[in-house]
Amino acid sequence: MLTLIIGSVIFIFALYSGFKIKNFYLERKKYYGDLSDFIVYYENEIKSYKLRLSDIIEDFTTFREGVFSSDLKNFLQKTKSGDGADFCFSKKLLCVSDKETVSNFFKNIGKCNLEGELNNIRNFRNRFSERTITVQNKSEKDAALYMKLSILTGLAVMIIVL
Amino acid sequence: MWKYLFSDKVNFLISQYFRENEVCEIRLRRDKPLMVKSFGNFCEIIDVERRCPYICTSQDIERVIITASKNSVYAVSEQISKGFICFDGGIRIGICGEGVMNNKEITAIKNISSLTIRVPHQIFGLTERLGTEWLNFENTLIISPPAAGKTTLLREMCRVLSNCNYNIALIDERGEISGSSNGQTYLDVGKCTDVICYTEKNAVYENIIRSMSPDIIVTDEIYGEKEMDNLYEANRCGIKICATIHAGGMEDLERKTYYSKIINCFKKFIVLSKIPCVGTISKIYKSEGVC
Repeated sequence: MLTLIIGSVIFIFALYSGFKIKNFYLERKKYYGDLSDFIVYYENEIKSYKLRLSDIIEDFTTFREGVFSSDLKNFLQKTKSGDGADFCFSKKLLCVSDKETVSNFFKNIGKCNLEGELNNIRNFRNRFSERTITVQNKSEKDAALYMKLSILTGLAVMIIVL
Repeated sequence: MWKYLFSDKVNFLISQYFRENEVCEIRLRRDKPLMVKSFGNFCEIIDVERRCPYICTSQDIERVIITASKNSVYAVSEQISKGFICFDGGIRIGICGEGVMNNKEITAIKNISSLTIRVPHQIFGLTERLGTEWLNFENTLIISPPAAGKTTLLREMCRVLSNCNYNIALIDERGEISGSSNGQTYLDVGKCTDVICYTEKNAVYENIIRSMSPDIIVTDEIYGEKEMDNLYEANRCGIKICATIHAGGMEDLERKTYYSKIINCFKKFIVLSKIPCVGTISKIYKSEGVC
């Protein structure tokens, strides 16, 4: 009986770990996706309406949940102080090199005329769009893989214990 | 409102001299002392720690531009090319720097070296000096040199006329008269006033006459032949005009060649002066002669 309980606990723990790792990769996939969506939205809004950055961010994050929306709202709050703000990442979802690219983009956001701003967006998208697709595909695969691995590991340990 | 444009240090230094609602104008020039004006002369702001004038840096200037544009310089680049940015509360920030030309037009200003921040003040009761006769409104032109109080008087005239149930179309090209921002007016321009702001004036005259059916058009700093033509046409449609113009006095005005077209449209001329103080009405003319 005791071994059954121990085995079950180990299996549940392995399942839980797998779930957390899967969520991490899915969050990463969503983060890159939301970042990409924001860049497209930003470009369209400034091209069509020349809306201010604060209005664009507020509109974008109104009905959107997620880590990127939360980071964007924090960035907006900091920029309102007027001292210039760095984009802060609340979770380590981006790779190190991507973090630098994104930070540099947000450091220079809103500081040029329209032509300059659109050029910055285009440069960012050229560098980042393929990377986004690669990371999203990999994250999805990794999420599924780690979930399966955790189930198998849990089952294997459970069987060994039993 | 103007405090948002500056760092805590600059706000602290200015607050040593003036209260927030006493400041009328702030001048920043790169590598030169910070100058602030209340209702009198300019005053050099001293950095009390260093015991010398506070010298403006390029970071101070950049901070004003970024804050005034709300981190969206692209959204105000047209304003910048015209030499100003409008901020909340009717604050106008004049810009000087290197012009970028394209086809003989200024398309941008770069390397901004100086800023003039003008803070509007609403003063109620200014029209009491005009008596009550003026409320049977006739076309009125306020003549004034720069910074003599013409916009403040115009705003008060607009408010009073509007509250006397005249339908006013206020053409507020730089948002200074109404203090408009995001569709909200920060300054009281009256209950019957329709405000059109941040638009080239000559582009709106015809549309506003047709769509808003105003009794009076109120506009600031009329300039150029095209605007004279627009005002002439508006007057011909039966709409009255209350406007201001930059000039030293009637003699200066008569020298402006494009003015002759509508000289007969205006019935009353109010001449302002800075002596002995800003907003002094030095003369009022009626078209028949001096009052």
